[in-house]
Amino acid sequence: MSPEPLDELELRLARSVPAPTAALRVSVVARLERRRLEERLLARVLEGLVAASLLLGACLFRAGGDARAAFPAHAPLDQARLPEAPEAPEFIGLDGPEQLRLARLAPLFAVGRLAPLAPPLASTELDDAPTTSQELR
Amino acid sequence: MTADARDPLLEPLSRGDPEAFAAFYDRHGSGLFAVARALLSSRADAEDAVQETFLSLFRSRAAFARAQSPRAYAFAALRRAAHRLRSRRTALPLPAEPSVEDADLPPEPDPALARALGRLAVEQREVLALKLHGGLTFSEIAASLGIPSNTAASRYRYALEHLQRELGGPA
Repeated sequence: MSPEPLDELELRLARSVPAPTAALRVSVVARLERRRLEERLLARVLEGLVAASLLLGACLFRAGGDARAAFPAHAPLDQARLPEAPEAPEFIGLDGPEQLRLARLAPLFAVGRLAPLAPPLASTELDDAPTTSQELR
Repeated sequence: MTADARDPLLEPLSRGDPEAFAAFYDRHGSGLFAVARALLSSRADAEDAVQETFLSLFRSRAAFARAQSPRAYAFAALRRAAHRLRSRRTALPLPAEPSVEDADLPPEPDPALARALGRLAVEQREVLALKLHGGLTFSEIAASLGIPSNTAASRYRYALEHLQRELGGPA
């Protein structure tokens, strides 16, 4: 059996093209259409996210502006209404409100401002007092 | 610039117009399927490869429409899709007899030739398919496969001679 001439073999090969089914074209086009719709949907979702982010940013910026207007960051403290900051060691370590309360009470304990409830014992009275059990008897 | 580059289909292709892709399929779908059939072991795999190819072309449509030869670009995409499919399944030679899944599909036009093709090396088979079924020139085949044109031409010649021996000589 003689070998087939190459040009005839090429023709035979070219004619032997297996044909795709019609369903393949339908399937390819349908998948591309679905892919296109998915891309569009994704693009719209991303657009929505960007718009929502911008809106949220604007709201936060505005809220921040309102807050700054209501509570100015650099407003001076009304020092005149506050008592002088206590420096006594017993105030160190106390929180603000307690420190403030104690500071208001501090002048009351200052020397000469609060009289002792009982007079101090006189030294003579102490000297006259019996000191031993014999003397007591 | 090739004839493809001046093709009015390229602009809608670059926009991802499904009608343009359908028109591209009408031009090259049969060739792509024939090449896929030569590279893969079943019709179902070949059809999957063609579908994957078109999805890949759609995803990279800008580069696809800008390619020097969109036809060669499409066949290169098909080759990659076929290799991915082959690597997912175990590499199988072309079946000598139709498989169960192919039973209700049109038979191969020339079963003896299909069997002889199945015994060719994949490299030779793909050059043969790209040339005869895809209608690519040797330079386009070379661009698709990333090999020199002379190598593509010699693979084609060796493939024909191998087939000639397979079909012409006694079994």
